[in-house]
Amino acid sequence: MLSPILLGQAVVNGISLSAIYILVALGFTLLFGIMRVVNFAHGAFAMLGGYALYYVYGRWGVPYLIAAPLSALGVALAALVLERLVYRWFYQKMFQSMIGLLGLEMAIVFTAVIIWDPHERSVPAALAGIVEVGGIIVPTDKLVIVGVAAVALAAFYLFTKFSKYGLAMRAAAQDVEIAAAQGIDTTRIYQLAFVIAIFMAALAGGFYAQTYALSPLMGERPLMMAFIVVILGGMGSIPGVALGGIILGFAESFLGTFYGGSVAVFASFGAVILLLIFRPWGLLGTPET
Amino acid sequence: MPLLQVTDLQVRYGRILGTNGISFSLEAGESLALVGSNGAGKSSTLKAILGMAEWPQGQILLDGQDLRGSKTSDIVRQGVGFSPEGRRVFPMMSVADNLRAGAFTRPREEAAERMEAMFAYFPRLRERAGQRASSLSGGEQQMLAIGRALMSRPRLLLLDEPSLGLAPIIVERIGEIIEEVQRREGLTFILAEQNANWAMRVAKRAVILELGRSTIAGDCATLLDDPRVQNAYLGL
Ligand SMILES: Nc1ncnc2c1ncn2[C@@H]1O[C@H](COP(=O)(O)OP(=O)(O)OP(=O)(O)O)[C@@H](O)[C@H]1O
Ligand SMILES: [Mg+2]
Repeated sequence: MLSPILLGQAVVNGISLSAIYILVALGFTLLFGIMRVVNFAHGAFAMLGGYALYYVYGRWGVPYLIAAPLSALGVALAALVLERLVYRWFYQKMFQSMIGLLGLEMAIVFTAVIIWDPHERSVPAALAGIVEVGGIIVPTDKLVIVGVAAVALAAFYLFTKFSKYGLAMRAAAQDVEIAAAQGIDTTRIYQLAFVIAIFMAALAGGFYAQTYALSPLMGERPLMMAFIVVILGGMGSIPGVALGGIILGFAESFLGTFYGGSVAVFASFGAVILLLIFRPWGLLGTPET
Repeated sequence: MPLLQVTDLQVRYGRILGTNGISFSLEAGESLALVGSNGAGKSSTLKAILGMAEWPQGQILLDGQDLRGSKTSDIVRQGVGFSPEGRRVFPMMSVADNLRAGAFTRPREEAAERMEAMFAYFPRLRERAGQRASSLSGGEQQMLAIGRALMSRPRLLLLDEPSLGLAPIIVERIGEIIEEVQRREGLTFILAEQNANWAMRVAKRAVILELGRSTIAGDCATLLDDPRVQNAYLGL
């Protein structure tokens, strides 16, 4: 049963799922870490990313490597309207944001149902075909997803670590009032963080729609996964997101391959429940004092 | 024209009054101690100047320009630096990144040059440049907070209670550094302090705040001999 081919496929699947979960969860944790909003509408933006990719790549035929970032960027910039109208009222208000953004999630999802009807569609693969890597057969499609996700994550890392605006974002996350006292326009920084977070969610949503299927309700699962990843890793911790995403992606892929999808979901949630009991601040988070 | 002019300032936190009638002015190159006990309104005054607190009444002019309605980041861009009460360094960032954040409004080359200047004023910070700010001692954190505020080469530096919780010898050292920066860079500063004795030796002039109002004002040399001040604030 443990054939090398199956094993290899589970690894490749695990990497690609990890990449998707890290992208969704990173945006989620960014919004929490910087603005203290729990973005329950995160899945809706992933779903919109799926539809954007469906049109830009699937319908209009823009080359994939341009279409993927372009559709995510389109969603993120359009979402700025919601930042102005909705999100801004919930910054630094954790509990209110949960309720308010849950409402926003429903509003977006059911608007999507009205526009696109609830049927599932599929987004064509980035590249049809397979390649052989060291005896393992890998769908090229998966490699492209992992490649684009890796570039996005590396760009994000370099940006926060080395750029001036990345520094401003980190400062605002730690003490927004004092960040403003350094001459940082915190309203703009919040917008920037928002665009980055939604961009990553929408990008991941596109990948997710390609991997599974596209529908107005598809965002529920990425949101749930983001939530689990963030709780696993520790709320607001970026290395925690990486670790949580990898654990969850591989767990899902391996358990799914060998025992079936429901076992995978069951085990993931089971792990979260245990973690919440024994280490509520997550694997890499810090306990609240 | 004074660099800063505050007239009849009233700060409010909802229904609570932070100050009620504070007036003073400051010329470029001058230094002023804002002295008063707990709750006198020192922090509220500084926060109002920075646009960090609501002030429904009164006037604040920077270079003759009304600051009402200005955003904090814009006020800082006009050359106001702030070392907050309780230091409030960015705890998870390195010392060097804290300083860099202070130079946000400045070009990269100037930030590097300023960082060197800060390391010259505060040699401890150079040794600790790569360390997380949260790992510094209280005195080092205070120096970092002042250094961060000086990174932008402010025309007006607002210092809120830099002596708080520090050993007397560290407080003296901080006073010397502030004086040194003033000599070299012609710094203008306001020093809000409960430690009147120290503040009035570091600054040239002082304004005394009582229950949200400015009362006695004058040269520190004169005030240090004033019996009213001696009784109430100098513990003599
Ligand atoms: N955020 C706030 N909300 C409500 N009231 C406040 C707030 N900040 C200050 N106050 C009130 O405003 C008044 C002035 O406080 P302020 O902090 O300006 O005094 P201070 O002179 O800086 O005192 P300290 O030496 O203790 O720092 C006090 O009565 C205080 O209770
Ligand atoms: Mg105070």
